[in-house]
Amino acid sequence: MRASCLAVCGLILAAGASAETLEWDASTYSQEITPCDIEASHGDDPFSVAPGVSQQDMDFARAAEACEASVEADPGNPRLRYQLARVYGYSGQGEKAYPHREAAIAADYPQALFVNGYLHFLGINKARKDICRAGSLFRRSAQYGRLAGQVGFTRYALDGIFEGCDVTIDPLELMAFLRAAEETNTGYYESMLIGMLKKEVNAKWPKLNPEQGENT
Amino acid sequence: MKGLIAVCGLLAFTGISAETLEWDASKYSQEITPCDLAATHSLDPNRVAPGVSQADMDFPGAIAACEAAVAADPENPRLQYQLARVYTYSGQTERGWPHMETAVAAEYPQALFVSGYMQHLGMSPAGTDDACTAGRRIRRSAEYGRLAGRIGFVRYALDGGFDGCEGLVEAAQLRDFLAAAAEATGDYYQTMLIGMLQKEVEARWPETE
Repeated sequence: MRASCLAVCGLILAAGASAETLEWDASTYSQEITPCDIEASHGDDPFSVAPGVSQQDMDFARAAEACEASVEADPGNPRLRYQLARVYGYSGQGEKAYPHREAAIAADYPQALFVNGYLHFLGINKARKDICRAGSLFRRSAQYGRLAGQVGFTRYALDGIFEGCDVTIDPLELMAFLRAAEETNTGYYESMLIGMLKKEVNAKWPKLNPEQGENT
Repeated sequence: MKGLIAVCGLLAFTGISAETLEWDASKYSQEITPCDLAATHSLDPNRVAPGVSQADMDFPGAIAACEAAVAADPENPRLQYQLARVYTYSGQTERGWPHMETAVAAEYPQALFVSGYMQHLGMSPAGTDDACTAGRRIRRSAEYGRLAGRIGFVRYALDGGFDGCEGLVEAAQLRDFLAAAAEATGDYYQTMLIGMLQKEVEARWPETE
């Protein structure tokens, strides 16, 4: 379950990009659809196994019961741990979510990395405000190819939010995140956003290697 | 039809003063036709059936369904737009364009945005891709509250896409479009995008001016 077991390091192969990326291996835990998946999957989780259920459509009591049972039966499954934390978080029980959030983070579950980064970024839902931890989690989710991490980490890095944190801010990596995001997304808004972020990265760090950045 | 369908109003919330338009869908049939089932766009605010993506569309079936629906109800701008959509997706943009123009003449919000976007990208039939016409259509869709119009019009205006189009770009209206867009969405990416556009508009046209 440790990150080292689940993560397979690779290199972005797109021309010019050299940042390390991580590949999530979902084969190391069950992909069987459980009642917890039916009740509490997130629509944007790249590794969900059932259709997403929004907060407003979620039956909290039923979802909590389903996910508690699923986690009890398969505690090493990071998707289920994340989903149980999600149910608790949505239903105002952030303190009960804590151990499950941490379990999913420890497993490097990409969706949990981004979501918990965001919770720490804002200091909401019983997660302490911790910008530096947020930065580390965002970056890790970006390395796993999570779109929200790729654009979010870049946006916040451009804003200087992580200054003073032990979080690597490498413009080449930021550009690699954006290129990877561009390759996997063609949505109108996302494409426009990625294009604007690329321009901003290039404007802020104009000395990027011409083979890796957009300009010199 | 335009005069019957468009009802002018004012955004009521604090600080927003731009004129907005309210689409009145009661003036044409809301009955779900085979054309709606075959060719609805998922982001059309005035759709009556679930969206069908280009990849999932059965072109011959959708064309037959929408031609029949338009023949039976030619004043219905939703059906005219959808017939245009099917033709465009199936590589017959020129054949679809008259139907797009009919929907645009009726000020169907989705047709205003899509046709303007096609013109902006140079994807409309030859001779119809005028930048200022594109801008007017996208702006009109924004006035009707189409989110892509509100955001896209601002982006293209900032890029100078409508330079030389007299009276088309007004900084106050751009700000209003973005404020209204921010009110209308909680989406992570859209919210981030709107914030970035607001900063860019403010840098280009400071409000104090």
